[in-house]
Amino acid sequence: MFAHASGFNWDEALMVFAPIIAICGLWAVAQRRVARKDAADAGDRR
Amino acid sequence: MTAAITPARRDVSVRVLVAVACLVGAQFLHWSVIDAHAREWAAAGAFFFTLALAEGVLAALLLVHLRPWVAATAIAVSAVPVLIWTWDRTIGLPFGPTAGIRGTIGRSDVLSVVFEVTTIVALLPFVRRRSGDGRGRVGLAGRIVIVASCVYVAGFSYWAIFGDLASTHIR
Repeated sequence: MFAHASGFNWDEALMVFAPIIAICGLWAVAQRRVARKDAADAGDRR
Repeated sequence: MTAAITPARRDVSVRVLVAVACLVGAQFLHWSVIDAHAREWAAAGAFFFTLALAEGVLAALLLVHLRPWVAATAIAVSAVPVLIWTWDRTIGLPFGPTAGIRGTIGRSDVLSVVFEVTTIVALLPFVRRRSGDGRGRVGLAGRIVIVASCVYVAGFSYWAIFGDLASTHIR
């Protein structure tokens, strides 16, 4: 049977998922800033 | 000159580029296991070959021809291996040489699933939108997200493949 002898442990899971959480957090902050700026620009145009 | 550059810059989407990076990463990982799976079961090798090929074609299509059907196809192609992996790693597939036996979890398969789920999440808004929507000015944070995603996909793909190569075996 094709198998991964290394397995996958919690330390590796943390190493894999921590950067994703960081990138998603950065993306969420960036989206909020863009939305706020767009709202401010729309307010200026009125 | 400016007219030629401006549309290209506006044609960038963080979501699309992250999805493309993840599709290429998943393609790389699936390509690397074709031989090992084909030695055990030819159908599995053919499956991984077709999957890697489809992921490569869809990554290119997302860049040059982003349409709802392309996004939907990329989501479907990413969802299939996630479902099969979940089935195999929980109760075991009911067919093949290891029917009914639960597969073991390794680095490369976890990373593939991570890339595929990220592709699905990134592309979902494009299924119901016209091609131009969702694309626009990419700020500094967006560029950092794109670069970080590419570094993540490249780095962890190599980490997964070389980690599994050192310890993968045919039982």
